[in-house]
Amino acid sequence: MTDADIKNLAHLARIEITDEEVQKFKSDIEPILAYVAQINDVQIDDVHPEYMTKNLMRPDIADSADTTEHDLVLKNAPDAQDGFYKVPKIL
Amino acid sequence: MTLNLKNLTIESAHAMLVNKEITVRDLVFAYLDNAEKQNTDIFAFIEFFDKHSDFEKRISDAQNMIDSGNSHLLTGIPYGIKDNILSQGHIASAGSHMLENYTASYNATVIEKLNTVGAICIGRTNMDDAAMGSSTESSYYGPTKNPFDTSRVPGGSSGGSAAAVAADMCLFALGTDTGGSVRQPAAFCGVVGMYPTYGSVSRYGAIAMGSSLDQVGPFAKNIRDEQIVYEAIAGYDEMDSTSISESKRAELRTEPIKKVIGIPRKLLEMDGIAREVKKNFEESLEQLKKVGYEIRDIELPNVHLALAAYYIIVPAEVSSNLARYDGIKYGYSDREGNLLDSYLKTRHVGFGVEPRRRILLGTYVLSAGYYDAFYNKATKVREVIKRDFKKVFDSGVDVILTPTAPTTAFKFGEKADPLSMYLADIFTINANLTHMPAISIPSGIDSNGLPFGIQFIADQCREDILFTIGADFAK
Repeated sequence: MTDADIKNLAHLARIEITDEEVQKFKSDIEPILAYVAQINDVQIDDVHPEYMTKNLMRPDIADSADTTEHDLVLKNAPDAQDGFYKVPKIL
Repeated sequence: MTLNLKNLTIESAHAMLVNKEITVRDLVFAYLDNAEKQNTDIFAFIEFFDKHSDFEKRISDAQNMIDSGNSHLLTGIPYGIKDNILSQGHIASAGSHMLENYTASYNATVIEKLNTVGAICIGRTNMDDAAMGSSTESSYYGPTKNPFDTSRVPGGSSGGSAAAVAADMCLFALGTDTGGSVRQPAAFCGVVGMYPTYGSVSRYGAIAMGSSLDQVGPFAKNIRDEQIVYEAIAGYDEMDSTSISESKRAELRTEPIKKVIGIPRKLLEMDGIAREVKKNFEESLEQLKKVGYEIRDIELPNVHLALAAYYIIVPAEVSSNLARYDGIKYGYSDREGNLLDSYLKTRHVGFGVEPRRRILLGTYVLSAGYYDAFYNKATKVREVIKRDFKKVFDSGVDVILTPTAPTTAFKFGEKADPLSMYLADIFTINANLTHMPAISIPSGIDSNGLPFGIQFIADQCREDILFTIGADFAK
């Protein structure tokens, strides 16, 4: 794994990274990858995971007219106006 | 009156409430007083809720339930919640800088259920940053200390909840367990803790880390109390898309208990397991033989691959779950520069080191070119391990027994590199990977005066067997 690889991963994950952190993460991640790579060598038949639980959907019905929840949600917003999120300009 | 908190259990406190020996107020404030005193040293709680506007009302509502004869075993019982479980109007920060000021806008289903029976939440407990760690050392707010020895960690990531119950700061506590985050701190602090069958307790309102592994689990002083809390929080929930239906659960609970315990001998021969832990394990086996259990050696041929699979699957899920922290909707936000700058800075400052490390790892194992070799392979390994466990249970074994952790509580700073911290999860991760329930029960004290924990793993939905065998073991 190179410095450029770490920088690319950080960019893909949208996390700023300093040169010092590149070195630290590289030296942390290399032994972890070496450890988990042991599964690359094992032969496993083509099993397909079977889960007891399945993703179940419920009807998309807005059943809450509770404004407390709405207010609390917006209170957490870094920036809000007139009951809406305010977001940085993208154009 | 002065209450002897050391000897109090949920059942005995309930009896005192119903017999009018004490009021809910007496009980709650006896715990709060002790908790506030102990907290300066232990730091199990990040915040107490007693100054919150509805605290007094909750106490009087609970008292009314008792007085009108409408009480549940948990009515008026003081408890703590891990800082990643949402309780409306309270901060839930997941031990992180990112969510330091995040106020929950709704109740987690488990909180809703506990509110309905009148249990009293006294505060939120400390945890590793974003639930990533096994020691509670990485909390943004500082570490929790082990009540048995304050130079040692309480385990993690739910270390605050474990320490709170161990130090009699509350009668029970909730944690979350993705790879052992309830059971390992329970073992380190000498209390009972469990990972319920995946899908049996709702994840709605628990801040997500590894969604295919996360479950909310209780901490309590004994098996009976653990069972009371588990039964109060479990059940189908339409707000959790992977919740198990009641009919499915009943269907999986028909096989009678056979009193057979399986021992995965090979797993116990792995490096890094303390000698004293092995000795305690053998003593526990003798104990179980004495109360009438058959001990049988079993094979789990692929279990040596579990930790590798786990540390691929978890970072993968972490990297996608934590993508939501963008500084736009909630949480820490740095609005300097353009939108991209804002994302980069927000996520650099808001996340601690381990969350960032896992996001990078997860991004790697999910990226084109590595996906098949890592993530896809790990899900296959996971399935093969699950089949190994199923086979053992289908052969007439009730539970698989292991130590909960390879060592007793370690010292602060002892596990500085991430891989050595990961290895502490070697026995606990299997339950999460296989979606099987597991419980950690105190099994003695080592030469340093630190608690041992022993772990029982049962087949899916067989919490009933865990409680039965647990009670027999604790006799």
